[in-house]
Amino acid sequence: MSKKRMSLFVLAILVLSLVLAACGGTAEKKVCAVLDTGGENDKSFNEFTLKGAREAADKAGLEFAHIVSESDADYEKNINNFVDEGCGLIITVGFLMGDTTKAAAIANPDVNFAIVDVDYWPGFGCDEGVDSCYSEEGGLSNVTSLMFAEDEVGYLAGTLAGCMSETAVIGTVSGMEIPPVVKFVVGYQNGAKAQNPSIEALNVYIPDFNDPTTGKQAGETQIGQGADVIFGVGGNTGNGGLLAAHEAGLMAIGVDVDQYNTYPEVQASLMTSAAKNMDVATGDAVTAYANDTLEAGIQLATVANGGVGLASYHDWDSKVPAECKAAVDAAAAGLTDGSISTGYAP
Amino acid sequence: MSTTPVLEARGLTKRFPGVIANDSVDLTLNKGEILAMLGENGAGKTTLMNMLYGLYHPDEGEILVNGKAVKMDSPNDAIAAGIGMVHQHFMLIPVMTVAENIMLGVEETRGVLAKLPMLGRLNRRAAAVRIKELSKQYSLDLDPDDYIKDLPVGIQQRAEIIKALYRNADILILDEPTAVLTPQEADELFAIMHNLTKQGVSIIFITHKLKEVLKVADRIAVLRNGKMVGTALPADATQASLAEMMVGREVILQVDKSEATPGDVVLDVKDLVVKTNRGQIAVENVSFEVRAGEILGIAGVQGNGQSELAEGLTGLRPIESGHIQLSDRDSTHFLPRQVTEMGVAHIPEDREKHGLIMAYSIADNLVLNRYYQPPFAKGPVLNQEVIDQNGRELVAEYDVRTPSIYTTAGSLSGGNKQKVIVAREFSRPVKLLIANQPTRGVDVGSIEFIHNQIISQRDSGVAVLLVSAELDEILSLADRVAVMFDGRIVKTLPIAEATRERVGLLMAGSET
Amino acid sequence: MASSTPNEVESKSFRERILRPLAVPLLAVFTSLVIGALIIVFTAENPAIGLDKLGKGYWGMFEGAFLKRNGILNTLVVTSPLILTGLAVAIPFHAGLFNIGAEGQFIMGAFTAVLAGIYLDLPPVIHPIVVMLAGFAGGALWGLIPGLLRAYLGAHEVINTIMMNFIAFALVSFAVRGPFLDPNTSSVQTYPIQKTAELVRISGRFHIGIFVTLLVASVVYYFLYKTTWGFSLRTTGHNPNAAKYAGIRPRQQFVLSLVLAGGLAGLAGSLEVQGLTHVVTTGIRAGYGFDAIGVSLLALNNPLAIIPAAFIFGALNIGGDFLQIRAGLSVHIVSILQAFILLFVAAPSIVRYLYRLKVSGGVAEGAPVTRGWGG
Repeated sequence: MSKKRMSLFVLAILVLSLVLAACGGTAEKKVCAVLDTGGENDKSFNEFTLKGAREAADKAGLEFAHIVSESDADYEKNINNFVDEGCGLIITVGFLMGDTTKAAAIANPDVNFAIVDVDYWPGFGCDEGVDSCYSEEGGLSNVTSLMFAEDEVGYLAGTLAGCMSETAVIGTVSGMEIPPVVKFVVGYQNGAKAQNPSIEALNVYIPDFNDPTTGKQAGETQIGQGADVIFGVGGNTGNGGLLAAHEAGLMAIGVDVDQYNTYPEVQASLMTSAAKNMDVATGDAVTAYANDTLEAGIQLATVANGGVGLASYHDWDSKVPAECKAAVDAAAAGLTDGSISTGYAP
Repeated sequence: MSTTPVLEARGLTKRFPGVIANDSVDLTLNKGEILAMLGENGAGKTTLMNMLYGLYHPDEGEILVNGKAVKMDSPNDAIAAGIGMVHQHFMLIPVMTVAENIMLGVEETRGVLAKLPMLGRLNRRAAAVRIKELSKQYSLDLDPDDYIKDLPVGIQQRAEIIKALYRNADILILDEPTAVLTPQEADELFAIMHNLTKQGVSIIFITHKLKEVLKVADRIAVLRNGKMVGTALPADATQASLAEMMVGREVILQVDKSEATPGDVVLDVKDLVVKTNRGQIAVENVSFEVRAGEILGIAGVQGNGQSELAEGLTGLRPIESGHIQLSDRDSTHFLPRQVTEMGVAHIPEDREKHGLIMAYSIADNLVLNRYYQPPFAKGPVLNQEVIDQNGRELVAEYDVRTPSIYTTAGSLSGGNKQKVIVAREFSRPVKLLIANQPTRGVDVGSIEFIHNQIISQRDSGVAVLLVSAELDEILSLADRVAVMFDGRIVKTLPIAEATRERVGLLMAGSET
Repeated sequence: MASSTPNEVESKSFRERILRPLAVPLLAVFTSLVIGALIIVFTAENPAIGLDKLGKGYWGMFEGAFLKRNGILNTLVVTSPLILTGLAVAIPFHAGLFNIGAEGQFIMGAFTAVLAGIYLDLPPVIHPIVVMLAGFAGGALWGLIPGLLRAYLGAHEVINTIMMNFIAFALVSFAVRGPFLDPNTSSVQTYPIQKTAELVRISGRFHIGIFVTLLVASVVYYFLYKTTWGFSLRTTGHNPNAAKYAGIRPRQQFVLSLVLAGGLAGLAGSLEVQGLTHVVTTGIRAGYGFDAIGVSLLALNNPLAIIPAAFIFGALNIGGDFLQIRAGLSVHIVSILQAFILLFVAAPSIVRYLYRLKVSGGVAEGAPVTRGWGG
């Protein structure tokens, strides 16, 4: 019968701990993050958002919690759970959560929301004029969109590509033709042309972020047309372009995060990545919230504030000539002081 | 007889939830003796043997081998104590040779790795030599290199016996060994048994066939309801006295029946061909007819096409060619349900495989092929009340021994399971009854009951096709006997001309 | 051997009828929670932190699934598809088949429902019903194919239902990205269904789908146990040979069971679309079709018992979020709990041994669970 006593003992501990926990109070300010189905170790948006938010919350002494969504249908539930949990700032990630975040923000005007990489404009998230989206009238006065100057980091990548290309033909394998993708592409092409006016820039938009097969075919087509640098701008589809470049022994440039870590198969061909530093952006937002200085509207991460930038050259550090590195640095300086424009106009 | 029994059981008791399977059973087996163990199904014979063979652990009591108490925790202990068992269903692997089957589990190995477990090379030759010795010593004619699947049942049984002897058994338990044999094969087995006992082997012979017991046993022990009701010597016993000991009341063994008065042809079969599951021809150009009010017995050793014939007639197996006429309808390609609805009752050969749903209640099993008809269903809705009422009535009428109509069929004894099927098939108006092995594995009391039911069906004008491997059953019930051998009906005899010897020879295919 | 004479009497007591069958599943859940607790405590940095996390996590689980605002409603929202997909596993089990394709059937149902919701113009009340029927039909088609393959070609349904899952994922994924992509939104999703096709939400995400589901579960119970159709189906599952003997055609039953199963899983997909998402996305794979196997096993395939079993799984699902929200534990702890529950239900002798339960006498007629892989 000792087994029975043992299970009684365990039960007693259980009950006791439940009671103790139930009596615990809640902190005043709480930061919560809803990750998408990619999970907390995706080496991309989710992982860096979580990292930046958690570190900043710890530093500011705020309570922090997060949840990984198991399906697209869970976002609404998870956001609402955090609202119920008394979270003062809820961070959401990516365009899949755009609609749900908007709805939750309208339903809960007392809670702050920060969404990574989604902004709202008329017809695309909110009904009013551009400026009024994030106002009382627009309904999103409690939403901060953490946006990235994709055109700027694209410009830097283009500078590098224009400098490195021997054929003077470069390509981009892009996902769906939506603003962040277009910004990357335009910045990239303009950066390359500023570096080498005779450069020819190829591009294809593939309306799917998860189609590496088509992406690879597009990359191969561009290589067939002489391209020797491929910039993949579109999740898995773009990765297909990187793979095409890698298999042809050419040069590749990653996107969003340092793809040296997320796509190790192409490390040998990957010069760098046009990275959005989500951890910096979310960390800044959390700190601002802690200091009661978080503002609604678009917070743009730029080269100037360190929110975007080229990732490390890694294996290519020795292969990229100093003149190209200097060209990139000069472009970064120009973007920072405003003397260079990326040429992107919405 | 020698002084110390080779095997002795003292006060063995085994309880299962809700039942005492063996209640303080005493048993002695002397050296060189054939002890017949008689008992109805469910009397506890198998439980007792399983305890002696180490498959069950007795709740009380002890087992002594050569006067010494032995603890039997597994068959390995029993084998070590010199006890061997030949099961009713052989434990042989068809695609292996006799020698391989016999050495299975006690393989001798040779070669450099022989000392290591699982790694030595099989020493087939040594095994073959030993098997030949044994078969010579006990006159068990057998070739170690034959494949089991190629051997007739009687020879397979010899392989089982040698398997036990190979493990140095000097006590053999034979569980219903004659159930699968022709009368001639059975006689050969009895000769082998005598041969074995002459050389010091002791045998426990489990059966429910009274005639065999009187013929072969030195001593007879009878179990009833888990209790040992007594022992008898063949010289002092008669079939009737043994049956009374088994059942606990007087049993009429002789079926009392009047002369048949055959009427119109109900079933007319012409040139029927049916195949086995593997596509071999099982029934070859069989023709016969059965008239209302008569019983046509199909005799034959199991596996000569009788099963396929019955399945073909009832729509369970496709007909390759030929013709079946049921009364005035051509039923050659009828589905089972059409056959049933034509007024055909079918007692299937394997009641657990075809006749019953073990997990269903008795009441539901009693409407297994009529559940969709009124009054058991109204449109698509079952009328459970009527089904249950029907169950209560039939359970009472057919004397099914069960605590409740909600009891699952699976928890009934063999005889009571068969009674459920008989009740179901006889409780509706039929013109043809196909009864396949209707009393297999059924206790004496139930056999009597089922036989009487079949006769009374005949007398009420039902045409009966009785398929049985029990020659005695055919001879006592049938009005005409058709003998099947190798898929064909080799002879049809009026009952007056059907002597045991003649039918036995026909069954073995040695007379046409 | 000596056949045991069962000792129960005709009128069985409440204890026999209700408590006995419940003992193993409930103790399985309880034991799994204890094991989960031990895992949480002993994988923590130190036992004190472990206990703290355990308390926060388990209390959160309980509060989140039942007590919190919307807690019980959220639980009911996921219970609904679990009931339907659970039935989609249970019905084929009763016919002796193992349906691993509820997930694919769910997805196809969601997809056909979305199409009916977008392209048909019908008045309210009628439109939701037509959309449900469309979802049922889509799922049923996905059950029909492996059903026919099993019945007439003998192809094993386990393999084929799994394959059909992949085809459904790929097909819907293609359709969502291609012809039915809604260009007005940034995410990869279909156009939304019309307002007339939506199910009314009562509070938060709680929509009226669960009432449809409860009705369906009762109908399935009635079908299985009170009609001749159900009798034929169950007979086939218990013993196809005896079914043939009884004049039932097992092939028809195989097909019927998988068609019904697919239809119910499809209906689950339809309700999910009508009540919650209003669109189909590439992320529609919710895993209900796989959890359903556990739900059905936990309920011993009884259509009414599936309701509480689905509720338990639903509560674990919803409450499980709070293991992470409150205690920072991995949501996968819940998967471990569910796996243990299934283990204990599938191997009841473990539970019986732990709690010294006696085996009940041979009355209860469950579906032939252990025959599932037979073929």
